[in-house]
Amino acid sequence: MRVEIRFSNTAEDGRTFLTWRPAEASIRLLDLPVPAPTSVRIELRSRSAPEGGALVFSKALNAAGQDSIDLDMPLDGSPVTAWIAGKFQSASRDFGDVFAEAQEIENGQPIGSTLASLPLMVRVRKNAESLIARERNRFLSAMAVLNGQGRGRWADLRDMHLGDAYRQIHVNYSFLPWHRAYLLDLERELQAIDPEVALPYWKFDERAPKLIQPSFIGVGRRSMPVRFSNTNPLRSWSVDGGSVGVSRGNGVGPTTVIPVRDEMQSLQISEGPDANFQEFCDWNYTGVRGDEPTGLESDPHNGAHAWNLGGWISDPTTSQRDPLFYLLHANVDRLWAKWQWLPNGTVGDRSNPDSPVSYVSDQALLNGQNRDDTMWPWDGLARDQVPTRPPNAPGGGMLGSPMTTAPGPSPRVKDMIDYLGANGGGYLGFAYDDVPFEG
Amino acid sequence: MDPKTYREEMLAKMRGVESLGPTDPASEKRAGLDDVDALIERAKDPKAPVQDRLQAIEEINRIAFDLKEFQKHNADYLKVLKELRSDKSSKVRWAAFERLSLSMDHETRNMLQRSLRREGEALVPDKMAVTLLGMDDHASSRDALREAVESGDKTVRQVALLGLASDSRSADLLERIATDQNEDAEVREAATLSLRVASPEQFADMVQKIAVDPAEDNRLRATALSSLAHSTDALERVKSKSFLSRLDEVSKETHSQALKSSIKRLKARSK
Repeated sequence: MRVEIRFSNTAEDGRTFLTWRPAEASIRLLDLPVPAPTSVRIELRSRSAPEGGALVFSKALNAAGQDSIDLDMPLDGSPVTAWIAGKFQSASRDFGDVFAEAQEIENGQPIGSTLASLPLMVRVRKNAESLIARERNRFLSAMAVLNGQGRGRWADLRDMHLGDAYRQIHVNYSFLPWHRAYLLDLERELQAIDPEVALPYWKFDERAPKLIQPSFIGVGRRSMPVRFSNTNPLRSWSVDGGSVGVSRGNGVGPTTVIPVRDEMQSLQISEGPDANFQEFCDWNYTGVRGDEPTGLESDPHNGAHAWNLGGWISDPTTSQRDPLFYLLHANVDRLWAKWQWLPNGTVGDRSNPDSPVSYVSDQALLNGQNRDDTMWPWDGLARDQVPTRPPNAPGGGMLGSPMTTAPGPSPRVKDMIDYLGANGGGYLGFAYDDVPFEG
Repeated sequence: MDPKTYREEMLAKMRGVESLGPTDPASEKRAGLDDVDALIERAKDPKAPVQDRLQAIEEINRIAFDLKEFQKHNADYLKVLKELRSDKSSKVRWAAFERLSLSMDHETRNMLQRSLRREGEALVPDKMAVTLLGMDDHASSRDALREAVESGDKTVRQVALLGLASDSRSADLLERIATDQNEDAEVREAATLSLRVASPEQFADMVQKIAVDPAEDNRLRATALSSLAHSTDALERVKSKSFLSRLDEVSKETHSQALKSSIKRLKARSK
């Protein structure tokens, strides 16, 4: 007798990558012995390799995950549904460092041998400082391969953030949703190269002695290209077939803490009963208290760019040329994710794609920035069709993921809000190491 | 940790932090948009201490990241920066060139090219000129970069070589330097990295030769193979079984961990 554990979404090679968000799995009995038993009860549980990830199980999407659950299995081979997720704060480092296992139990005690052992990976976006060498190298290698495709997909990603796009994607409320989509597109490209990669983030309100190193994202130098170690794949970094190297000022070293709002201050930008996305995101919102500074786009986002003190990353129209840009923005996105989750978990109003507080509802924005609008450039609409948009729409639709069908090739602003798919939105296939799924 | 407990901890931590007021005393003194005019005045004041002037430029650059809000000051700031390109203080001059190069200002580009060619006064060090011209990546700078490759010191040559990556007409020059065993190994590395972009074909041919040559510098071999592993175009050209099996032998023979690691990476990417 054996048990089959099958996920609805798997990669072509049969591998499944999980986050904190439970994934639906169908569990069924196969190869029953003859004569068949009168009943079979199994336990689903997690087994971890040393330092590996861990799993939790539940019988409903929004139920709290347990280290194990028991299931009474139909003897006719019909499936039972279970939900399997990564155990919060127990992410994987490699595929196959955690297994979903099934074992028959009787009176609460395991009997016989293991009936299923399915290797998985709990793949989430981590603080770059926490990556081990293998994880770091996989990320760098995938970035270098993506970049090494020269005028291919890398050029599209670069062109999506050029000066022509500034007013479409900055200093407006779609800043956060748009950049969430942009990072997702990049991450999916990286995962098409190496599925074990997740985009790390630069927690710029703390020192980053592992990240700001020649062996990782490089060390900026005044009037010289960024210094990379001899074996760093980013050493070959070239912007669209242009010069080799990265231009970045020397404002951020391994022990620098840049003077921007820290995480706690960022989460308080809009807090309490009147908290809303408009106040949180805004670049110049004066807010209900009257004298507080601006929203997340201004501080810490602008400061995190500008305190590099020169080079591409210190200008919004060239910043995307620097690989550090993507880790910086992953942290900005993480702050949004954490703000969304903080008061009521991931089913709270801040994560509800239709709630008034999760986005802006009371004013008409430019095309591509309203809650129900599809976004430039994935929807292909450029200036010739919509006068307020950039002149071109590079890159085509958003890349799909084998782990989810959302958001589709032409995402809307609202599709970016409930990224864990806890609140009626589509699950986007990523999560942050410190922002749980909490239904 | 259980998410609910984690959330309670986060909320408690947040309540313990002073609300939005600045926790860093220095941040209270930090300049904002309202200070830009005064900062511009300080930056261009020849009597002000150089350090103050540099700090003013740094502050303005930081504030300028907000393109929308900075727009009203932009023309004034660019005008001052252009004046500062000929400032008596070399550090102020350099700061002006750095900022203007980021905006790919053609006049600045021309001045850097002339400076590099010694046509008139050297306004910035050659190392800075080749870096700024290389990152700007404009076709008009390539002659100046090629000349710097032939005549500059080691660092200048390295940076100038990196700046020539986009120039397919420089492929022969890059290949010549990359394969010249009399050249400095780090200069050869820079030429190799650029050759990959300038001509994937020539790069692939070159790597196949040097990677299996035990007389070659191991660091260069490692760099070349690592760069090859991440270049889709070039990698397609060298995926012959004989080359890959020869690399297995190299990996067994060499004591260089960097070379072993690059071979492993390339083999993984070749699958």
